[in-house]
Amino acid sequence: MSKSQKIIIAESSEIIRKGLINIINNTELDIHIINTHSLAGIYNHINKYYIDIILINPTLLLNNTDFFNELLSKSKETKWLGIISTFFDKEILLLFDNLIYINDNSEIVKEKINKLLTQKKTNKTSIRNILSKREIDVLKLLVSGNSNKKIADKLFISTYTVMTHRKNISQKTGIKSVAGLTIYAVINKIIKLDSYAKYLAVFFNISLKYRNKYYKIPFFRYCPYYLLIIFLPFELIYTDRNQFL
Amino acid sequence: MINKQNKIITKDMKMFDVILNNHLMITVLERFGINLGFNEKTVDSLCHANKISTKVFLSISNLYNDLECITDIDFNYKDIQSIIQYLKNSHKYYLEEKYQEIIDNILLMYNINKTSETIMVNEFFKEYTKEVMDHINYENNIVFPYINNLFDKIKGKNNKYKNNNYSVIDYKKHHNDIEEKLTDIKNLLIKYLPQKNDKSVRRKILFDLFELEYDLSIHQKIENNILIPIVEKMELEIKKNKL
Repeated sequence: MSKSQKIIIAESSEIIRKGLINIINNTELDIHIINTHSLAGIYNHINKYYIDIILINPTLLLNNTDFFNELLSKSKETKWLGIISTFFDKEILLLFDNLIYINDNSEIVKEKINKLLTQKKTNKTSIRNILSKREIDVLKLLVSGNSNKKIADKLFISTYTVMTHRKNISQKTGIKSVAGLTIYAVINKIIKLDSYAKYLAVFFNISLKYRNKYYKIPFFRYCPYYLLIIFLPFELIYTDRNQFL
Repeated sequence: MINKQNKIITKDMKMFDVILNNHLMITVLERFGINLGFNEKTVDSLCHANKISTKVFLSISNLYNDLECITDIDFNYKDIQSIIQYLKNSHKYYLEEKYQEIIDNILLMYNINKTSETIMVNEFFKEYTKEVMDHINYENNIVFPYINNLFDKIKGKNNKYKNNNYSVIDYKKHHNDIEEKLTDIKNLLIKYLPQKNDKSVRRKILFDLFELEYDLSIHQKIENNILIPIVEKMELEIKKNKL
């Protein structure tokens, strides 16, 4: 007989928790069950023992992804089994090694736990906020003005894949619009504004400022951007540089 | 935005308590044209004094307290005037005050930190403001006159304004979400743009952005849950009576 295996059940509903404990106790396996209702509870136990399986309700992870990542890094061999009672995003379900559904019967639950106890840990995706290499490739092409189709052609992937990459990029960065992503890319030095572009940006900005400031004067309203730069020296002389400090 | 309130505002409450409960109500009063300095008057009496439908006032102010159940009640066609007035005034507030304030602050930030990133944020926000302006102008110039025309038709008045092809369905389609870019700029300012010596300006911008976002979300709720259903009802009635 091998030494007893440890399982954590993390579920806020007492009915489900007790039910699962009951099912597991009825198997012939030698299992030690720890029950808790929060991620913090799991954390305490992971520090103390080696845990074989963690049964967890995905709702506990929803707003705690960073904490969950820490748990993942602490217990690399532990398998995660989701307890599914409502609808969850596919993204979240992919984090688990297997899932048990609330309407699974006890035989299926036993089988799934048994299988996890014997099988080796598979590599799974973790919630990461850093862009992958491929996503950075897509981002670079995207912010330099390429359409989905052009990106697909250049990277030799389908437009559908490009769209998935874009979705993931937006999810990881929290930025959806292309203009916003461009700024993200510049800040993170994924793309470089060459000196020419920088010069242009400053130039346009000053010109626009002029136009806005003196909009009421017809000359400024209808004057092309590039002519407005003539007034730059005056602007520098007459604005009080200390007023913003 | 504010968590403490979940009190339902009723017509017999004192207006002072309503504002203490949620200070954002100050902007709501302003848009309804109710002036401060109202002593111990109740919601109902103030609404009467200012010729606003109490029902409209209550349903809009309760939206600010995160209570949506109140919007199910039936509105008179008369009420639509005060709703439109409210929406118009909030448009004015967005364009003339809020966006201007944020643009000014972003320019201040740019003057402190003259990097290419801040220029881009500046441009980004300007572009976004332009989109919002387009949307608001569309509502002011096309949707509201259309609704006023419907109102006149039901009342039996003849109105020269004619736009037979237009319907509220087009308005629903036009309802693109302007929140997306707002979240983008918030994310950029909080998560990504490095902070140097622009602390106070950045804080002001962010506070303004959060307030604006909250206000816009309620604005959209008013349009979707209150305005559009009434207009749909009006259209149906006109079709029925073949006016």
